[in-house]
Amino acid sequence: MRVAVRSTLSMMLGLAVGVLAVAAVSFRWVFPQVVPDEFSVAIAARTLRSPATGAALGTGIIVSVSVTLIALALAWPAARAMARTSGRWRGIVFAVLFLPSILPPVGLAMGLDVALLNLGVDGSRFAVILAHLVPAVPYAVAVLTATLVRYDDRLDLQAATLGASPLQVLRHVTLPQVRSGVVAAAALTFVVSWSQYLLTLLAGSGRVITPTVLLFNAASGGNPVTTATLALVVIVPVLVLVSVAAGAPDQGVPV
Amino acid sequence: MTPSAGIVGPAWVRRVARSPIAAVAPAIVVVGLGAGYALVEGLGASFGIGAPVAGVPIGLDAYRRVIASPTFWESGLFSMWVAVASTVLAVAGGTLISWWWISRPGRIRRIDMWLVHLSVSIPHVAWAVAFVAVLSQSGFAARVAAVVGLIDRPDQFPVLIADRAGLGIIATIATKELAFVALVTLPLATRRARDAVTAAATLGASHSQRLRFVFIPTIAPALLPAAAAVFAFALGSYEAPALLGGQRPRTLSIVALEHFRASDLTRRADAFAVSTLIGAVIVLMVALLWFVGRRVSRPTPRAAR
Amino acid sequence: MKPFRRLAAAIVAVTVVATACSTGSETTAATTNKGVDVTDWSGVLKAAHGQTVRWYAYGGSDAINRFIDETYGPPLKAKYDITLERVPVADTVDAVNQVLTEKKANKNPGAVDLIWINGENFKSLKSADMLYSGWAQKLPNAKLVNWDDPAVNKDFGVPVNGAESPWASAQFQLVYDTTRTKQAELPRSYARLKDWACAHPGRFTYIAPGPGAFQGTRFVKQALFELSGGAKQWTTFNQGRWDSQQDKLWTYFNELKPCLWRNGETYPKDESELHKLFANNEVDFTITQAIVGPGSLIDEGLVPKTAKAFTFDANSIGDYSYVAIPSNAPDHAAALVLANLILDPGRQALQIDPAKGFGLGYAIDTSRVTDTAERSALDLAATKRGPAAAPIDELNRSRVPDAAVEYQDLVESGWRTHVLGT
Repeated sequence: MRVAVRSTLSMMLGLAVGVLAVAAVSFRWVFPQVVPDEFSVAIAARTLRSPATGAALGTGIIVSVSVTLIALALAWPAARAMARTSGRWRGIVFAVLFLPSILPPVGLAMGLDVALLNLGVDGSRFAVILAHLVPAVPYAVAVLTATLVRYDDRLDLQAATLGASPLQVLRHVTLPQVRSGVVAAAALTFVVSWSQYLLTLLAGSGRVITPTVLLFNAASGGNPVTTATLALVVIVPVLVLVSVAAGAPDQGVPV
Repeated sequence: MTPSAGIVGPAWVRRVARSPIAAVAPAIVVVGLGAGYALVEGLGASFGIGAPVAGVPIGLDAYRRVIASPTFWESGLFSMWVAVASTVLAVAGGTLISWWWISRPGRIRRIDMWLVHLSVSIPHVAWAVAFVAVLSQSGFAARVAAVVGLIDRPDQFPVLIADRAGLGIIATIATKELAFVALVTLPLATRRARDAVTAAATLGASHSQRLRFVFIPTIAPALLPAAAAVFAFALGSYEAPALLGGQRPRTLSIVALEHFRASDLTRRADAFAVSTLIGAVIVLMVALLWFVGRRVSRPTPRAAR
Repeated sequence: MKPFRRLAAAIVAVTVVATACSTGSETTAATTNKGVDVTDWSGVLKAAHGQTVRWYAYGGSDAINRFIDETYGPPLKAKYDITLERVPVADTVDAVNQVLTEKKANKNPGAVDLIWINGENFKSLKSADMLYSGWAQKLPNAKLVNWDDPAVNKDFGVPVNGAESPWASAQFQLVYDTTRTKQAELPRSYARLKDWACAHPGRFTYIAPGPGAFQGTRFVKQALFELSGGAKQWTTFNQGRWDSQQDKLWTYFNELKPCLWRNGETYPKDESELHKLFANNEVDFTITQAIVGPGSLIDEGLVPKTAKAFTFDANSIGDYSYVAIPSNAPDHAAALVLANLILDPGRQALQIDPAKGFGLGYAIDTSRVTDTAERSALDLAATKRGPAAAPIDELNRSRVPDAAVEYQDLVESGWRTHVLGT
């Protein structure tokens, strides 16, 4: 049965990514050609080299890295506290944190846009980063908590007793022990931010263009080869990050 | 050794700073205030409060307008159908993945984790683009069907994109969200359900009995919130319906965003009225799931506790 | 409500700033240039020095995006020290909303310097009083534009009043595949099109009219022109005329509907979707607005090599698209310099060249170009349209101006109710 799940998922993902990859180097790939008659890397190369793609990649990385760092900084103390508290408190905090995820995404995006506009920051990368924190922070807290639950903090106490400063403890004792969990949390937080289309579009007033926004625009009216290329630009970093994150054990979301 | 241990000041400040409340506060404040502010703005705007242009009366006008629209019920029912179908498929699929994972002894293989994480993580926009490339009437699947002789022309291939039943939208959302459901239920499945299921097996419970009476009730505390989140997402998300939907019927999320982006700013109120109505349906569904949750998880004692 | 909102805003701001330290916040530190006088061109150039022009333009066409980046970006930088920042929007209405939202928030300077615009979007910014006006006819290169032509000085019936300057011209044409359809069998009117479609069920469709899909709206308006006996009467708005004629229009499209692709249950959303259906041999016609025909579409691999443009015998809508400057533009002077550069005969010649341009026609009247070298470059470019283009006399014979802008909404919502909704 596990094999069935594995092969179904691999087939689905492989088909999706494979078709996009072939489409990106095809030329006039039309029905009923299963394999393209003509190949060309000209359009893909043009798309990758275009200043718009470069700028979007830069913006996307700046936004998602900022979101990841801020979300981890906010989530770390919360996760340490949660890892130590009883089930009931944890339940309440998670309920509050995940409450926004039962708001309709379209309503959340429109509401945040108006809110950011009232703050006078709408249309900037800063606004997009703020908006992304709302869906990103809960995931960071959840994954870090799942890691820290298994962490034995008597080690920290020992180090502190031996005279280590809180920062030294964090750097030399705690982090090395939970590194894989932190990496997983960082990777998944990055991905949550990287994937946002509507939030980015509205909070950024259409001016903050990430690869995901570029992809959506191409998908609604652009050349299919360009669209496929941009889809790969969006997917490849996710693939890499997920591979990194999957190295960490058990990062399910403990609801 | 909390991060705030080095804090100085009056005793009560130190006590608050050391308490878990201070530790969780920054995260809660950013998420809670961000979403709360968005919620307050949105609710207010739907009643005409704080409208971007003058002359928008405060009251229920926007609600009256959107409900009176000739396609409102069509869009509402379509959205409900898409959301319910996606949720049912995602929950069923996710539960099965979780079940298959624990139904054999041993650790979950890394490749399985990787596949499920990847399915959750691929951005919806990219996933929708891939689905169009594969499932449209002249897409990859249709071409394979043509080569093996099942069809001759694109119009003989079933309509899965921009179709009246929203099959393309449902497939896109369900395939991604089932992996989400599997991940959310995983901790309970491995920590509690596995032992309970093994115990039930030694007591002679059949496969389906173990799934129905032991496994599902045990993971229910995670499964139901996951179902609520999937439902909320499916009912209110924009990307998949925008890229895979047709002109009719349109989901309420598309209708809301069209109002929001219209150059006539009085329609902002209508946009928020629609999204508030979507929110209200979600609240009802969450209440229903909570009610179901109490009934499902109660009668079965949690064996592994 | 108000105090609470401000309090909440303050708390969010403080918390986030405190916790986030500094994140690469994008500064829009542009200076306002309220004092720029168009008639003093050297003053404009001086003010524009070192500015950035943020050009909001529909970003769905690779060819247009590339053309903007390559044709205007480098000379702006080299000659005037102006940085061109092209902001692609999925629909021009997004740029319009940006400006209108800024108006509401009293944001000055705003974010937008220049918008590629026409029709309804122009009307809504103009009626919101958010456009600089009176400048377009005073640009140095404005003398090359035939401002006496009503197709130029009126945009969908709305007087331009110097609030926008033309960029390019376009004309609605259909595209067929010469290997699939014989030239003699092409339908050349809406009446004949219906016969053709019903003789070839499922092989024709058109873009759904609606916001962001003006080509679909245009296709329906042209049918209105034919059914009502001419385009001229529709250049001014007359509700009575619409009321008396619209039934004919919906009858026509409902009769056409069962013969369409997927029985008219759904329609392609944009040009690229229609091109895809055409390329995959699902339908036999697509459309283009380009004076050069489907040449660039062929080069991009979007349609078969054997595609060719044609027009109906009459009622093929031709028009101009423009650039406009919002009244809260941060770098007003740079926007003026770009609007003037757009009319430069050299750039105009490039835009019609299928190899380099995006295939839309000239905004300038070539007979007004006095420089012989420039003039011959323009004439040469016009001859390079290639074999896929519709014959120039066919284009000229069938060209009509677009209907008054008020009809836009009526056509779109009417189509939704009477054609899509039944």
